[in-house]
Amino acid sequence: MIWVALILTMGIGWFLSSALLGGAWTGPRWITILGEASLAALFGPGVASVVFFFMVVAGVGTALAVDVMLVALTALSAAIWWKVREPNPYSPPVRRFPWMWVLIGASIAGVLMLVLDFQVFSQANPAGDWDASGIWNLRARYLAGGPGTWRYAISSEIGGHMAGAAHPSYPLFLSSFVALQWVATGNFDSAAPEAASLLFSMGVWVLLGASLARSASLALGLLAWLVLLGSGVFTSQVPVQYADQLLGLAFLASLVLLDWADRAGLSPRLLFAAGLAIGFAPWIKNEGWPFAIAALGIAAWRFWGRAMIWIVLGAMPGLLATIVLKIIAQGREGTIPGTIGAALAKISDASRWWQALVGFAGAILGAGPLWAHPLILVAALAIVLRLIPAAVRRARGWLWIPIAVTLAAEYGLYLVTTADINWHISTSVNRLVAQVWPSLLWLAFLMLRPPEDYFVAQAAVVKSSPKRKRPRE
Amino acid sequence: VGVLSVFTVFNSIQAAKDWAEQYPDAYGAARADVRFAPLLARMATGAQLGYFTDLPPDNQAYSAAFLAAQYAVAPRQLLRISPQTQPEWAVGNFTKVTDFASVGAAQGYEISMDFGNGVILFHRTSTR
Repeated sequence: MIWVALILTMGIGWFLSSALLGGAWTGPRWITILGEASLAALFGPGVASVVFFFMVVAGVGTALAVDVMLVALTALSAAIWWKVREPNPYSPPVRRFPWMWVLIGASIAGVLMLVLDFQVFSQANPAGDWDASGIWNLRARYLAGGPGTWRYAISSEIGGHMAGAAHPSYPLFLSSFVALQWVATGNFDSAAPEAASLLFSMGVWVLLGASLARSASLALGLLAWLVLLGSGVFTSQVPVQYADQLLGLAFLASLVLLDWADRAGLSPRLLFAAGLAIGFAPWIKNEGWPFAIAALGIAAWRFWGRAMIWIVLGAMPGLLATIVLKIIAQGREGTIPGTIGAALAKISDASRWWQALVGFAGAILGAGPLWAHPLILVAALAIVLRLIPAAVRRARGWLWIPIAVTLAAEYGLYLVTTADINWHISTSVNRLVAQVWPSLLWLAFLMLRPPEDYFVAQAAVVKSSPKRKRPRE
Repeated sequence: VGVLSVFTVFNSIQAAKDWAEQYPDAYGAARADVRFAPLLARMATGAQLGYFTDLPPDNQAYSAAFLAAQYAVAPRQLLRISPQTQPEWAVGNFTKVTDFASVGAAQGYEISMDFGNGVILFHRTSTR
């Protein structure tokens, strides 16, 4: 039944993403299908997790109710899709790049190895890594336990009051999604969190390349896939069953959809979809708050007026669920100072600035092996392919702001943390970098000239040169 | 870029394989699931359970043992026993054979059942 619940949830997501994109995903059909599926991996579980959370709070989170909810949401989203679907738009032919098959082959080989990597880890640790059984899956068990136990998920007693384990107000997207599958199944099968972990990781990987294939070129999308596969900071998070890959998916989806809405003349559907992704960010992790506030702020600045209404409407499910959770959760995060004075005292300590800086630098340095560090790979591509014109780069510059604000907020949290700063940094900075890594790669690749440009130019030169004799066969 | 990336993923498989061989069930969650399984059948799913252990809280293994036990007994709630928190039932999660009865008695609990493997069910005898 886990697979039935998972397939229904993905069905909800696919109908929603397909309806909201409204044919905006142009390009090869296989890329369109992959791209819509990657957004489905955010929208389906997101919507289902919000509805399930409210069902649990209302005391109706039973197996029968969950089955009915999933079927009803699938039917509703299918009806919406049927009503608003649009014929496949015209897609320009794929531009020629002679080594495309090499990139496709390497991507397939790389992703197969990634799945193998996931399987090896999951077989040895079916309950995931430390925080999976300590936070995310634990709270899923409480939510799945029914009316008598769901409050344990938001209790100040969780984690025995231990630092790093007591998070009663942590957002519940992941836990709620895993819990609804467990409720539908009637047991705590480890396949549910394992599948979720792989689904969200594949979602963020697919979305990175597929969105670049649509926005820039297929070859750039394939190169981005390869660089992400070569990023240890990404691959190490695939099997751990944490919420960081999911947050990375929400960040990337928000940026991609904001960019497309901007380019598509503020299409209400794309704006709503962008809002949906933005709203899910704080429902996934607290780090989603600075991102959501920055993304909504930048959207208000650029799209002021009716466009903002669509974004805010889209953001409502995630924001509403998060606000309700924050209201009913018992206790607050133990790592945030209780007074402004205490925070200022920590901020004024210069050594903390240095420690946080070193922590981030170490995590970025450790994002991959030095001989194939993703930053070196991107720099090499920038040298070979060169950048797009400065005016176009500047026009896309606003897309960096939500990620920059998120990084600044995460840096600021280290400055004021009440926990031991070295412990706090060493246990979390890698994951913070993992959250923003796919978005940073997407932004970096958006600034590169597509490899196809050079072959189009070459072809044009050949065409315009004087007629040459056909070589004898 | 393609070759280096694929080689990097291949490298990470080797690392994951080595790590998995060296640390199977790294945090003891799977072991705890097996150890606590007989106890779960006796406790209501919504029960609140106190927690006894022979590990001192400042021991590095304490938090891993607590979190593994907390996950194994969930959706029952695991509580650290204190003068203010003394649920009717408590579980013992011991790393070695010791005088379980006196550990419980010191907090006002008596042994209800010994499930082996260091897992003990205690019942409160008095309220302090």
